[in-house]
Amino acid sequence: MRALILGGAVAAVVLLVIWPLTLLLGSLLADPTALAAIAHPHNVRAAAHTVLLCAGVLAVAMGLGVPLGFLVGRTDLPGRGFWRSVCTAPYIVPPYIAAIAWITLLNPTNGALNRPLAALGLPPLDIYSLTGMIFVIGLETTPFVMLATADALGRMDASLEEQARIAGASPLQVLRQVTIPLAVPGLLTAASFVLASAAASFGVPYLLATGTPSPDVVLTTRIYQALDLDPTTGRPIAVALSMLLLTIGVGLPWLATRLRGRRRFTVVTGKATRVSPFRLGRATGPALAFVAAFAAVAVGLPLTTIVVTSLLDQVGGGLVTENLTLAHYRAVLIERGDTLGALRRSLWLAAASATVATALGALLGWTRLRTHARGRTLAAGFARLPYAVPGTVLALGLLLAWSQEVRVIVFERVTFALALGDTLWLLGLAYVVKFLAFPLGQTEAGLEAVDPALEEAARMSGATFPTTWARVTAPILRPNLIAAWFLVFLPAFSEVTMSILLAGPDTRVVGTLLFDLQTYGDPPSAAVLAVVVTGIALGGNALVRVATRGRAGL
Amino acid sequence: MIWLALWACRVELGPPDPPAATSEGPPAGEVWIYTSMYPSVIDAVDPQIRALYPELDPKWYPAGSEKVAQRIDAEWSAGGSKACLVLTSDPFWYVAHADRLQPHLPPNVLHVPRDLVDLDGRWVTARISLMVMAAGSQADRPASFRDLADPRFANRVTMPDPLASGTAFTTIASWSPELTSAVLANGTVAAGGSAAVLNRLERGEKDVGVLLLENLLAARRKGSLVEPVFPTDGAVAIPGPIALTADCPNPSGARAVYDFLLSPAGQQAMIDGDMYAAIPDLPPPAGAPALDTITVRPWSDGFADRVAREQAAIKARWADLVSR
Repeated sequence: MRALILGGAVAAVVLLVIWPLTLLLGSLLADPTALAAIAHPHNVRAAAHTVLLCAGVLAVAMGLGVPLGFLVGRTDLPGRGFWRSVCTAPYIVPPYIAAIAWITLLNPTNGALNRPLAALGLPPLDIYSLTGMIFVIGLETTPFVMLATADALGRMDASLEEQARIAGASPLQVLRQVTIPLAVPGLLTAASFVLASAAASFGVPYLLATGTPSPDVVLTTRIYQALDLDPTTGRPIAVALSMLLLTIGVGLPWLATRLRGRRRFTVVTGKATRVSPFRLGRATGPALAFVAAFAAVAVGLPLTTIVVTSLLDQVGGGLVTENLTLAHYRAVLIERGDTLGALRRSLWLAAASATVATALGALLGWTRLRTHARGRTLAAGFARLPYAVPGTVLALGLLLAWSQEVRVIVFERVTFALALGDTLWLLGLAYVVKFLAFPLGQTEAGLEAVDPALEEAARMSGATFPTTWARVTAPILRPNLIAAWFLVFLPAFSEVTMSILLAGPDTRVVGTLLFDLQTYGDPPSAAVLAVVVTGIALGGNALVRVATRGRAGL
Repeated sequence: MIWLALWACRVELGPPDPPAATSEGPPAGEVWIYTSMYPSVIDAVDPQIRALYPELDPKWYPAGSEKVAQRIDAEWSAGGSKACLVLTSDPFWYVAHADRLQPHLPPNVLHVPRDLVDLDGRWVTARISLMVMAAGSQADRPASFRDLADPRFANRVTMPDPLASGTAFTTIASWSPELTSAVLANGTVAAGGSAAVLNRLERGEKDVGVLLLENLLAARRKGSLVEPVFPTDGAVAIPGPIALTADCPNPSGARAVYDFLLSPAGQQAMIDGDMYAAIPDLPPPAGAPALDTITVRPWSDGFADRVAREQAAIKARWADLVSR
């Protein structure tokens, strides 16, 4: 039973991840001269920008996410459940919609926030720069770090801290010398996600790197250009550059985790008592101000901008009563025949891929940490790669692997024809493959904190493999798995890059619609859809939290 | 996992080989059309085709010209593409992939100017896009592409990115290298496609743009105040060809769609979609001047061949200019 389930998980990685990546590598091997692209001065510069982008984003996300996670996860901050949900919102807004909002706010010519600066005689802030990209992607990835920190700190074994207290340590010393060091595995996981996410980000750099006469191009935009220039000669170049990108987005973080060595971070044992929240006392005011300021800048500003844009009759008309209209809502939601269908399809698809990815990721993570199966590290390693591969390249790999019909004929009469091209299946697979790294990382972070003795006890008492999972492993991992589910669901719900290449005529989804509205419609119409998508995600999350009294949801 | 895989399968009972498509009888079955035509044009022609050929089921994959090319390329590498008809706005793609196309000459091809048709019949222009300039309603505006290099317009101009948009590439290919580098050196921002240019103009980030007339006409119908400016040194006409792939599984169905798109009704749909018809006698799109009343850079075999040959060099030169 156990071997069958784990074997299935590994087979899925081989078919869904390794096979498409191998075919992509094949197109590079067919034209090895493309490797020279790595040394081209433009690409070297782009790689340098990518490294700077990763470092900057990591600094922003950790600098903001760790304190936020501590405040909402381990302190008596008033309304911390509410703040936790609100501060997750930057992750919920589709990234390039957020980028468009920031362009409206901070473009150097007439950004809404730059006009008051100009009135004061100050130079404008320029969103079209590497700093601008770091800012936008940094805010977008802060929720990862916040959630990981909150999770790691919230599940700590209280006895460890108590012992430190008894030994005479002050609350701050406990925090610095016991609590934070024990949260290291969770933080490292979060950090590696932030790095991979920054390296692979495309929508934001595409919009923000290109708004100046001499743009700060990064690797993903170079890859996109190579493919747009000429798909035939561009694919091997794109693959070569993607390998460089993987080195930065996955290789360096992997090295960093190696350096951490083989220390144990088990904090959840069978005998744990619950931790007590850290009392903020007089720090409550400043803490609240910090959380509220983050929410205002990272959530309030862009969301307000998107809502306002969706209400404008003409983008250039300004914020005056005559220029406000609900007409775009009517046009997008009622007059367009395909909007509701696309929303329903994307909801369903995102939920299904989140469920499959979470199950698969949990099995892979568990296999790596709890078994001695051969190739376990390799399978888990490969499952992590697609997240750092640009969406366009990954989608091409999936087309190479799965666009053709696979026919299996039995008894010469019955044909099983697997034709995934242009179906929802292919889209779903793409989402599972791309975001598999989330549940995998979450599972590993969760399991590293849990003493294997708990599961061993269950097995020794005669529980079968599925029973052990249902009764012990899954309940312990529950917060991680719930977070993983949402981390897959949210980006899959509004994914654009892969959906454009993979969606067929009868499988249009939110991402393709968003692209259509942005390209063939107008910014207010695209903003309408963004408002609806964000509303569904935020509303759904709030509903889940209320329904489960905060036990599920972000 | 196995259950999921089986669920995704289509199960056929009967002999394993599907019946071969016949070329007799009225056009029937699925025809896959990969196109960069706007959704509104597809919405207009699809019901007409279905009314003409009730047995025919046109399947549209709409995406930008570059995405269409990427998808076909990946599918061809994997063993074959469903695409029967390809209809994008990148004329050079057809030159480069002529060996994967099969000849077809629709009845109306004789009305299309000679320079807009492949003499071997492997592609025929189905519509023409026009790259023009645009400006807000202020008095100071350029008269020609040449003016974009003038200090008066320093840091005020935006255009689509020739490395990301085929129509923008065709545009700079029609400019002299000196003009291209002078325009860029004047602080011009080149990013995204025509839609992105229009957005920057409407937001007021830049006040002069280079973009496709069709985007501008559609926006003006919705009340946009950005106005077209027809450059005196010649707007760039970009043919949008149609072609039939060599390995199309349903050639008779595909030919029916092909012929319809070049028929007066199909051409009218292009005009309603704010593009010029390939057939010169037909009227221009609403709100646009007739092509013979403005200066247009002529499209010729000579130009197409030269640019197809120099494509990589032109793009590399651009990339060098931008990253300086």
